[in-house]
Amino acid sequence: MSIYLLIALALSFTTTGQVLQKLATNRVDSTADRPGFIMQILSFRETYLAITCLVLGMLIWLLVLYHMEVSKATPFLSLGFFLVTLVSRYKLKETVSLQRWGGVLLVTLGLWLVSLS
Amino acid sequence: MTSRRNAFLCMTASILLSSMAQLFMKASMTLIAQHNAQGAVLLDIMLDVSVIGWLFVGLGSYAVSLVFWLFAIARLELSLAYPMLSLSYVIVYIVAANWPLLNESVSWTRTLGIFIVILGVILIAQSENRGEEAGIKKR
Repeated sequence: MSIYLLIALALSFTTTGQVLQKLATNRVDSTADRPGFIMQILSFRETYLAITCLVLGMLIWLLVLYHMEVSKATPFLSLGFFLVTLVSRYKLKETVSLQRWGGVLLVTLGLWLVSLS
Repeated sequence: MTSRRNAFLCMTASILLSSMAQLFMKASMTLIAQHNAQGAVLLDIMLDVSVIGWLFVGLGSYAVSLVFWLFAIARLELSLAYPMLSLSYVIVYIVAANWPLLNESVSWTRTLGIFIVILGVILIAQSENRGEEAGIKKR
């Protein structure tokens, strides 16, 4: 299997997992204390879906790391920053200012430069 | 519920731990690759304490990092917190270049990239929508 297909799979699972985590924490009652926060999180379906996605993403990522230098492989995850920001904007209805998009662009650009050794 | 300031502290802890996780897992994979190069059989690899050790410390760091992360994003917008995770690549780059086991290459292009990432994170940090409660239910 192509290493780039593996990277794309890892990226998709990780992005989905991140957004599901946020959806889970959004459901916690804001008056909860720390143990209460954990207990509530553990009772949500989103949490387990998120963990499943993140574990799958991580296992696939381990395979990627086996074949690739870590500082060469990680820049591909930079695309995840755009994906997560996009989903935050449209699915979670967050306000993403031009400055924040600029920051995400610089992060992605910087990580691609790191990949050119 | 944690304060916004504590949420940033949780985020910092999470970033440090996930960087450690990446590095430890890579250390483990590097040791396996070394065993393979020497023609070792699977059992030899499984019996090498350092291979399993680094892998478990790596996975453990990820698990703890996840808990800190949940406390962080409960208070922060995902579009603010998530891009800041890129700081872990800055940490990974610096450590991977200086850890003899990993011994990864350094170049001016890569170092420039690292500075651009840091600049991006500063921009994102300053784009905080103050007073906005990141989609948390109101009391």
